[in-house]
Amino acid sequence: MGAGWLALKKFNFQTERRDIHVSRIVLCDPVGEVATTAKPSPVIHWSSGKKIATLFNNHVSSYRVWKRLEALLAEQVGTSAVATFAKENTFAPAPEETIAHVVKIADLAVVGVGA
Amino acid sequence: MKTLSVDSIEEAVERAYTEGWTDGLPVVPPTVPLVEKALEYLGVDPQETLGNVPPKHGRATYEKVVANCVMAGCRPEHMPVVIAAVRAMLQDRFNLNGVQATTNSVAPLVIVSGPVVKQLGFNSRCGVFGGGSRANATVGRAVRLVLWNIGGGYPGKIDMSTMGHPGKYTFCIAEDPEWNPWTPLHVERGLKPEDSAVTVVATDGPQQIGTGSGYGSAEEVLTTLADAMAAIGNSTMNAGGDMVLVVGPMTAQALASRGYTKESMREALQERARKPVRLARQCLFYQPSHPYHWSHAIPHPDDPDAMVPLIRDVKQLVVTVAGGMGSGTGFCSFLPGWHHGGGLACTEKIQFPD
Repeated sequence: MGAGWLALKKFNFQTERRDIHVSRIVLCDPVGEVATTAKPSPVIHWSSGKKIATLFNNHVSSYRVWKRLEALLAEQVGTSAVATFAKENTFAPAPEETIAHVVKIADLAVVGVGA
Repeated sequence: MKTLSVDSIEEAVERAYTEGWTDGLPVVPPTVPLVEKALEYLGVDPQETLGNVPPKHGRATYEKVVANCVMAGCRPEHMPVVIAAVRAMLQDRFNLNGVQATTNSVAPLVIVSGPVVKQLGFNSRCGVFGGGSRANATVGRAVRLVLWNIGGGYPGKIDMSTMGHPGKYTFCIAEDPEWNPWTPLHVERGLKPEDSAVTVVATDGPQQIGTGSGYGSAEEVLTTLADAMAAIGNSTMNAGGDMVLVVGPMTAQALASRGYTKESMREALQERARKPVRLARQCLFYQPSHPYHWSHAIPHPDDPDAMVPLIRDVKQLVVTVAGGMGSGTGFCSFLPGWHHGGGLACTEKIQFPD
């Protein structure tokens, strides 16, 4: 028996096969549940006497667009029908008192994003 | 809790991808026994909620937070640290909604301080921002998975970060309890020395600063730090807010031995970390009309020689001591924040089960 046989013997092995019974693994879903409470906005039919509020996010990227929008609205419906607001913190929801004020004085609001 | 069944570990790992439970790195399968064991350790009501995590506003019940901790590889004893971090991020002043959705690259950095650092084996020394510690890696990872699975911070969908940074995988460091010559971070922020706490701040990635503190004077060290910190393109220089300076122990001890406290170091850096208006106005990151723009931080913004301070208020510079002792090069790291609009430092005491 030469070196060739030894090499054959060395590599001619089989792994032992074991049949293992594995029960099913149950995983917990890590995704947070979201309460869906949002309702679609009602359709607004514009007529004279209604008021628009604009609430600008104050983001640098939409500054010129927003200023133009405000000017166009004033042209179309009249300066007295438009109330303009701007958030101090671009990056957080508007304070509740601001939203309450807008709701009180306006029939609809245009709310700006931009980034 | 919603569950699903698989036949093998391999399938569980792949299923986490197909279900969208991970951001690319593999996760430990959140099996029912692992989650139940952790909930039992914590002794909490699984359905009790820590709050809703924005921007998706998923309910952060203990059960969901724990499932994410398991996926991150946390042991049960790590989970109170994660829970404290989640509570801190849900404070209003942190504005997690903005932090998660912004085009900026910031991610919440978790800084652990107090006795828990040694108790749970957090790394506060060599490679503090890197690998090597299960506690740092898994706590930071769990925070990210909570932001992903409960907050919905999916890149390009809700998380609009233009660049992001590697800290969006895991981002947790610890303050060194022995090499810190100054007041511990959590004590500065109103807790007792024997408390353990996490402080979260939304920051860019760490920018290393070689101060030469092993060789130089305090003035040289402070000048070097200040110059590196006040770069005109970083968000904090433009729009203020909180920022983090991780002072390496070599530098901390060099400054402390020359009489500097955290407070006097902050004041010295506020004085030195400035750029002239002529340079600051080259950066059009913010419009001068914006309330956070640097021009509102100085009395004469039209004077090209006026100096714009990076640190609008000394309280906005979060200072902690961490990292290896290193050589005389005295490495430190500066992490600009987001800006005054959010990501501001918030601290929570870690509550361990009885």
